[in-house]
Amino acid sequence: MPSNLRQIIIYIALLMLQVIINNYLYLGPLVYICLIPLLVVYLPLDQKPFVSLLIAFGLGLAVDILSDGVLGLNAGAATLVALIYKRLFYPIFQKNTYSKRFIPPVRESNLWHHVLYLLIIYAIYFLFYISFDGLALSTILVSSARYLICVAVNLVLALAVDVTLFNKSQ
Amino acid sequence: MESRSKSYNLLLTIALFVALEAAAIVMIVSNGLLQRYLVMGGIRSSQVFFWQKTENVRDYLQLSKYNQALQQENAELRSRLARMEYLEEQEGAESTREGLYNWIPASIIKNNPNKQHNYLILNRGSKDGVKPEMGVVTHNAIVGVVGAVSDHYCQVISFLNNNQKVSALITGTSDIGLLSWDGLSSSRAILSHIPLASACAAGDTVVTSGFSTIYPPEIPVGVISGEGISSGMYKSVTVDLLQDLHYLKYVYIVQRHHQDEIDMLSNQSEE
Repeated sequence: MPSNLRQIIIYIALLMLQVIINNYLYLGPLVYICLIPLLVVYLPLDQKPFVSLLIAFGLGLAVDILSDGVLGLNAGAATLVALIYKRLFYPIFQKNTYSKRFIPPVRESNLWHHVLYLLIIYAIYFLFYISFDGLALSTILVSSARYLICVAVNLVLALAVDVTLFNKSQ
Repeated sequence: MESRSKSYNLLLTIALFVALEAAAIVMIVSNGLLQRYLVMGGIRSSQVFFWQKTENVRDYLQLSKYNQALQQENAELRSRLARMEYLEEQEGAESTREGLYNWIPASIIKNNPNKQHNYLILNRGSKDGVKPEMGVVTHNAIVGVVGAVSDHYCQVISFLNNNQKVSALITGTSDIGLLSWDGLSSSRAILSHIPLASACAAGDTVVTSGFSTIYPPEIPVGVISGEGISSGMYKSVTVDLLQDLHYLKYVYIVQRHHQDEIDMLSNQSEE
């Protein structure tokens, strides 16, 4: 199967999985499972930035609409990630991976580079998401707890998806 | 030439980023439940069909829980009925507490108490007499307030929202406070604004005060489980809700009779 087609199928499957998780998986109000940042960072690195911004915004908005969330929350956070994912890639990953079209698989680079990269991406994503979701409603304590839990849980999940799905797709 | 093209691309990216973020923030800020329901009415009606099907499967799996809750409610209704019959016999009472309210039974089509802003969809709409701002309760829980209504369905802003506050009374001491969700568990709430001198203690029952026209008085909603934070002249306590709002299926939409007259008088006094 052509790698581009495989990539698109994985994207659609993960988008549907995200919607199903949002609608049917009850993990309490502190945990929000989110695969969107992972979808954004696996957009091609050689793509024009404005295309990445539009795709990220569209992905976020699609999840907001299909999973009865607050409209704009995922869209805004995903757009922020789309702006920085490429700028963040070069300082973190090794120089021999710069020519790649996508973020290199774990086996071709370093696990800790991936962990650091995804940690920063998720930290930025949830900074936007939780700030606007709890806007003047939640206490700082609840919002902080939610932030830390979301980043930690999603980092582990993202690494698992990263290693299993995306490593084979390139 | 190349540097000009790079600058142009950078400017385009920044402008697009600002525009998209602005659009997202406008959507977030203006994303009241009502607007969402109106704007996305078409999408919602197709989603409702899907939710109804999946909820049927979930309901089947939780039948024993629903049966238990219904049995309990049935027992309470029987005792209420007996009390009413007794009152009617004794005093020929025409109007009792229950008689002041119109009760519309409804079942929940969609209930996902998984977020910070939760809502429910009920299978009753304007054709059944439902109007915005009606209260939604069970025999032992405050469920929420009707936000938006279509012909056959209504959207209820759940009590499990950080900005929902309900006037409640502690039965042991008759102190009044404001009951709100604790933001963490679908079975726990916080009763705040209780006078510091209140002698309320763990185990005291909390009921609706009836000081608003949305909820009928004396619906038991929870039991005090512990002390909260004291600030100034007030203190707060944690309340274990009698019913976990995650496992709800059947509810009542309530409207106080002559609500229009009360609203008209309130509006006149405000003017």
